[in-house]
Amino acid sequence: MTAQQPLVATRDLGVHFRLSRNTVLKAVDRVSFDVLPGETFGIIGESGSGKTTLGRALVCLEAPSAGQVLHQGRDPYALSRRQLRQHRRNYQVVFQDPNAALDPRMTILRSVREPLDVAATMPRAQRDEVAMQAMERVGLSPDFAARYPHELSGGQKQRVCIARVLTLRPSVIVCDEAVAALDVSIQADILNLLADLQREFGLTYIFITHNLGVVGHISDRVAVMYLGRLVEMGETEAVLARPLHPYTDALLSAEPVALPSHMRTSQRVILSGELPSPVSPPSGCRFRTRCRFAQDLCAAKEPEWSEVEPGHWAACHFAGTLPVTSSPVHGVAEVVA
Amino acid sequence: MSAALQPVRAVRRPSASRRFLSWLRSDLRAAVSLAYLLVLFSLSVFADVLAPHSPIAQSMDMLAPPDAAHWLGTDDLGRDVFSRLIHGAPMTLYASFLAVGVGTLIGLPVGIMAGYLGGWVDGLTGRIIDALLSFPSIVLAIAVTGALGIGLTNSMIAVGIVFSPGLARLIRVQTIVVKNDLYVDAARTFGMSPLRIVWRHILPNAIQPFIVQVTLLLATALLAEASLSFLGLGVQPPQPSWGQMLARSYGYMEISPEQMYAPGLAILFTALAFNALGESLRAVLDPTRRRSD
Repeated sequence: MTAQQPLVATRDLGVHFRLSRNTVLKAVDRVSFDVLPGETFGIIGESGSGKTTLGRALVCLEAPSAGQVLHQGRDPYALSRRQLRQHRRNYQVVFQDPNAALDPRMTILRSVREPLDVAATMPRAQRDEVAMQAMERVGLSPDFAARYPHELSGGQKQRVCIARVLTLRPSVIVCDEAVAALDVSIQADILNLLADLQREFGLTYIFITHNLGVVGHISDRVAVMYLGRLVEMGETEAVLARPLHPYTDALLSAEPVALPSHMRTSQRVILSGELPSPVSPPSGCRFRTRCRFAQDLCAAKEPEWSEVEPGHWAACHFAGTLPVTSSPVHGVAEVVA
Repeated sequence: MSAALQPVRAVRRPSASRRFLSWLRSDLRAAVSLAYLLVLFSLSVFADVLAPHSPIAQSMDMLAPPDAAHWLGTDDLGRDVFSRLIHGAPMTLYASFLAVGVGTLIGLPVGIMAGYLGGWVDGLTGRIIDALLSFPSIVLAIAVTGALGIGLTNSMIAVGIVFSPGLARLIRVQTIVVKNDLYVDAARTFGMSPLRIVWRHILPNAIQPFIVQVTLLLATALLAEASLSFLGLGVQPPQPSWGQMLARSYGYMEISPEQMYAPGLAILFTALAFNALGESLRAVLDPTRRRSD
């Protein structure tokens, strides 16, 4: 793609869970993408699409069953355990549920200081100071230091989680539905905070979400995930304005539009049926059971993951030839702008 | 947007000793239990000074009712019951804490290891625990005492070994619950070593029911000491212990039933105090149940 070394990349990554002797759940299956330094890479998918598992694999919380995760071109699993512990501090994650991500028995200061305690590169007093600075940076007053997580609101807890990963000065932060558990007004606060921090520290984000509004607002490039596979990837504007894959099209048209029904231009695409079981995905194209354009070819042959337009990838036999609609994305974008 | 990032103020919290005092004031049961155990502890330390008579001096005045000289009467060998009770306190406390200590020392690391590592380690320890639990505990204790030799220390080590599988199983389940919590994953992304994760996150979050169980077992150990002394495997005469005193009084139940009140009530109150303290500890150890004062 470009001469730049990708900061995070996956090569045919698969994360499989053995459910019983004969059934294997392929939560992530043959996923390949590059994330370049300084960009915000969005990953969209509905629940059960494997996006959270993918995010966990990117920060080495799940070991790949197939393929590779590469951090700056190197496989972190080739490192010794000790080296991996050192290395992974550079690749941090903000989880969806801030309630569960903080130890209920630790004060806020201790939680924020924890990554520094593990690194043990500076004396205690300095660690406290850096932790307090990080808290201040995310808008938490020093009075919170001695409190416990249950005394904070969801938004405050998510700020604590962000402050905590900031203390390590990571180059990559994976935000796994980082705002999904919060009120819409707080979501905007947190998204703005993340944008500010990106400018300030030159962070690279991988933003995992089901919320198109969030992705459209914050991402440079997006990838769309369906049943463990990527179905489309490209520049955010290109994907949102001219989706190549019918699934992306359906997702876009499902986004609520802030207009009265008679003024809406686009037709809604209603997906019928449920997400098929990832244990036994449909033959050929995985989306064919819910696709309104499905042909015999789709059941017979798996579509190739190909670059249909420059920088715009899709996995569909008929990519670029289908009369897919496009719709403007509304939602959080306006609130934040 | 900067308006949204205005720092939010929080309230100061009082110091730890202040909180402890206000806890005792608000929790009468804990305060009484703690006071009782402190008295018992000082009785144990100063038994030689406080006891009015020698605990092993015999007299011809046998099975006498309480009077001015013998506040709680005398036993079947004419020994002062009150003095024996005081001298029995350190034995009893030593026995309880030893048994529970041994049980914790074995059960806690084994249970945490099995729960955290899982896989074949868990399978193997699970089988051993099942085997130990299926064995009648008193027989096991007698066998261990037989192997180690008769005496209070050995019999209490045996009781501790009997306690350990139950404790291991309890902490194993808690460990499995806690190790899947998200903050453990977070700690892993910071590069925390497994041993440190166990120490900083798993132990503090999993230990709560264990602590309560330990205080309950202190009471059980007290009774086990009594049974083993009754069988002649614990404290050796003429050394006094509450269990042994109770066992002796059993033989004179029909002639002099009041003999069993002193050791029986001492055992009862001590067991109650341990239990009550355990219950209160459970409440105070959990920060989510602590009132934000």
